[in-house]
Amino acid sequence: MYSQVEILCVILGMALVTYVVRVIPFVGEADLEKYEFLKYIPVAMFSSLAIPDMLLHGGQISPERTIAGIIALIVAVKTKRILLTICVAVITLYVLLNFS
Amino acid sequence: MERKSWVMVALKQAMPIIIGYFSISVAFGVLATKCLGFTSVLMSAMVFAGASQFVALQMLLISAPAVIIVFMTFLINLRHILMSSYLCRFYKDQKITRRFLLAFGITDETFAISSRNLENIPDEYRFKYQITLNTSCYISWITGTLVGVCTGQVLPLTFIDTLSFILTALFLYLMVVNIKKKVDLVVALFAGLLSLAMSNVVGWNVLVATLLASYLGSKLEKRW
Repeated sequence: MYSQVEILCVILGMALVTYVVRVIPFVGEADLEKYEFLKYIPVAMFSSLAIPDMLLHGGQISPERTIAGIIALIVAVKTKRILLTICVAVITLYVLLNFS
Repeated sequence: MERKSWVMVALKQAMPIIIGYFSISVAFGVLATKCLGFTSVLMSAMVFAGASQFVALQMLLISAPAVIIVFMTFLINLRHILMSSYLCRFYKDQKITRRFLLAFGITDETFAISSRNLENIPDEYRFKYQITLNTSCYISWITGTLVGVCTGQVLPLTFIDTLSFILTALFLYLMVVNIKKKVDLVVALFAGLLSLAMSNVVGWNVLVATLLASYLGSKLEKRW
């Protein structure tokens, strides 16, 4: 895994890049209208994080996670409620892993 | 209005965010217990950007390379540059040190509140208003993380393992609410499938899929 030093470097690096992004417009002029791909980054990133993690566990296809993930997607689309989505997903996974 | 009452206005408007940040950061602290411990409080204090902290946590849990984690943080927080570029017009005459301070506290939520209200606030009180808003949300974020790690210490580890699916569900939810039109859906599907196909190169799959899918989105947008 990671050493303490690596973790600290990750945090420092994260802090640095985040602050730079926030402060740049305050010290100079930044015109970003032309970089249209910026607005697709969140949706692309959330999807590329969630999809593999929902289908696989330790490199193998996990039916339990897949089912829990699909149910979470349905709840999210239908209700748009964050806590409900998360609770339903975790409870479904817990039940599937422990009672089947 | 006198100076003090603008502080009260800011605190009142910050209340929903303070409560929201507190509960989200408690969850962050609990989930980070195993791989970060109390270092997660340091992360909250230095980074103060929720989505990227959850992304970093997820990538730490799958043992992604450190450089990729930092680069993903950069990518996901790039959107703040748009918020800062909007807000900075209100602070053109402020001292540089004040602008440096303000910039630190810009998040989706503080931006959502202040961008709506700054026009109605007299010039000389804007700094006071914004710094109160940002700082109160910041304190809530750090306190919540601390409470979360302390809670995580007493929860059994196996329980936290199942709870890590919270992150997956959170990202699925964020994906869903960010899909507003057809291009978004195509971007999400493309990113998800590409990341899945490349899942043996841990960390890189997320980076490559995010960049290619966002680029695809900007190209499709022009055609459709």
